[in-house]
Amino acid sequence: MRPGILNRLCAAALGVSVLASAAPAADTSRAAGPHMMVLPHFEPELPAAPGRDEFMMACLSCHSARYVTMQPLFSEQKWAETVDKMAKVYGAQMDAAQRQAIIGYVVAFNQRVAGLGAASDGDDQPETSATVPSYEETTPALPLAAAAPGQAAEIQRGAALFQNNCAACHGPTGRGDGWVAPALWRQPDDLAATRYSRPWLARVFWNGRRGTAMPSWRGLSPSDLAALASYVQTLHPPTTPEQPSAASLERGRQLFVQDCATCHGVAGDGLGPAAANHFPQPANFKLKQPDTALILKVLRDGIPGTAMPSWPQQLSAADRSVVAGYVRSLFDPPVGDPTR
Amino acid sequence: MVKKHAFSPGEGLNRRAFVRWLGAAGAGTLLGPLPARAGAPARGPADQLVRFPGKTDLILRVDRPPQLETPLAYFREELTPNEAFYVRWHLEGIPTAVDLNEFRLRLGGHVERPLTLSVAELRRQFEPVSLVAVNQCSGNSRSFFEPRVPGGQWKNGAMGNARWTGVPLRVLLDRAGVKAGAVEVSFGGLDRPALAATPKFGKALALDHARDGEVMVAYEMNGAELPLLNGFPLRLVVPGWYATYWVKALNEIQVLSERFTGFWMATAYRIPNTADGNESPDHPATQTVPINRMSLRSLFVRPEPGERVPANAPFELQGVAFDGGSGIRGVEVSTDGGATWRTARLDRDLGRYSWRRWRLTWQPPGAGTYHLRVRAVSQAGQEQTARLWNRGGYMRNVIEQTDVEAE
Repeated sequence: MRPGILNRLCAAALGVSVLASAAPAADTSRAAGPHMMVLPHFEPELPAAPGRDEFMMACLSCHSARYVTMQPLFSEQKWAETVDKMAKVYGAQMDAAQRQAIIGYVVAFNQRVAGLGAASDGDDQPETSATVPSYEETTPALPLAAAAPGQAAEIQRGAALFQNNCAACHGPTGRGDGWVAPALWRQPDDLAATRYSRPWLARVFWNGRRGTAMPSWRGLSPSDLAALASYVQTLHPPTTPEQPSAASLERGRQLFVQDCATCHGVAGDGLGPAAANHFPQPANFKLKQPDTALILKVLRDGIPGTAMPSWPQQLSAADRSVVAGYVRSLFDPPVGDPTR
Repeated sequence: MVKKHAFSPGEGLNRRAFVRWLGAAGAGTLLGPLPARAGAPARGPADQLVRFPGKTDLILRVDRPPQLETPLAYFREELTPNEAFYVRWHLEGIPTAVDLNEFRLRLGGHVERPLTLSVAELRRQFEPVSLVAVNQCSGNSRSFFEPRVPGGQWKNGAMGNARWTGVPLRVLLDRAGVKAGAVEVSFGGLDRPALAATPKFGKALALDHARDGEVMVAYEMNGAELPLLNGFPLRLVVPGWYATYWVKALNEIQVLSERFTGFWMATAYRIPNTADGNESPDHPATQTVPINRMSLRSLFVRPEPGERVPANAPFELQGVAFDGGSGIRGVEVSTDGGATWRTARLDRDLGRYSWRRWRLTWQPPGAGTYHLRVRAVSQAGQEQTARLWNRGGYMRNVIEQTDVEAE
């Protein structure tokens, strides 16, 4: 045996004995730091059919639609039992009308996938048709009364509701860093980085966000939803409004119309001609106002898992800054909204 | 990084073809429809192979939360490689980051001295023990139930055999000092639900079972740390019992002075209170009990479904057999639909909780379709049944049948 190897063996033996006797705080014999992973996603396409929106809102919070696509052909009664189990046992959020729509949808979805013959081309990705009316358009949101001035008790109640219902994904302080967030396909909003108007929160609480894990929360009472909205509005710190020059706003408007309006709409209401096919739907800047830093981040990186691309190839840093100023100027909550 | 698994040298059989097949079927690739076994419905989408962190290509059942199945070919080995071991989580919030400097196992409840232990302390302060045991999902092979039942639509790959290393739970309980009056021990992990209304995952064992000296808090699997997707850093090992009890990312052990009433024992994972967990679809059992010890099984690993064999030439039939801990006495194979049976050779014994690999050299006496069957007898004298059904799709252990074409 060569001396070098012998020395190393001695050192190794010594190391072991030192480890055993000195009892260091951390396990130095292996990688003691964080072990991490990023989960991939293989979420199936959802065929366009009545009830798709309700299915997206109630079911995808907790699991991929592969829970449906892997099942063999089942009867409507069997699917009704399954949907009821999801609601009663696991707490899936749905009212009676949503329940009926979900059952109809999974029955059709299941027939479409499980009905495929073995001799088919093996493609389990049903095509998506373009013409499904927007759920937000057909289902009005529950109006949420604003908290009366000084209603700290309501905000406190909202905070408790938030911890119980929202913190798992959005995090204890609403920063979008909840325990469940890393497993999600599309990441929860950082609620401190955007100013949300009351109508926006009402719409999202009532209808959920299709294409994300955000369910609809019709199981909560209107007064609970109002308290929750009051609390969420406190998460965004007050900021001093910036005053871009008229020239800058005009330049921003031109860029927005040219590059953003196809999806976000000329008015910035998220209802551009290409919006209907995107889940989640493009942001409505009239009802929510992201911070400049967030807009710049999104323009730089895009939003993974959505149709929002990154823009550095098309827009210079100066142009992106001008677009951010214009986007923020679009915020136009209704009269009386505390964010106005 | 995914470590490419190398087959053991003694297992040259078809190795190149298998590695080629793995290489060709990269993440996200759709394979052609795999032929289902005789009797199983050949409808539905084809199996798709995907690659998750720390894992080789596995069959995608569900991506979120992950349910990934081991391809049958990995069962040609005694131990199932960590990177090929199946994955099954219940709740959306699975642990994606664990820092060993912060992670602690807590043992408390009805004890004299509650314990808080790091993984380093578990490794350093206790004598390690090792044991080879099958880990099998309660719903393994559910897709072969007829009539079909809802749930994870597994074929036979929601199982694996591994060498587990860790600390006997009894040693930890003794250090904590179980108080008089304790009846059960409950277990929880790092996984959490997305919705507050969803019950957190948790299981329980009777105190005597928890103290049997074999139930283990494992920190190694096949001599390496567990993959995150298989429960890093600690996993409860309950030899001979279905994997629902093998709580992953174990961080909480509670000694209870009353029966555990959590959802995952009281409502989920229940089986009919009948012999072998059998019930009729028309007359479901009225009494149920928590699923528990694994039933006796024997399975074909070769031929694979749809594999063709040469006529008038020797072919080695292969498979595995295991039960809930008595061990395997013998395995018999029929190549004529059950009319006659031959005794298979058993590979070496790795312990009564391990599976036992079996082989039988068979020469198809001509071209045509052969109806193969396999059945095992346990050391306890248990035999397999011809038929089993229950509403949960649990504990499948019928005498397996497969058809093979000789040409």
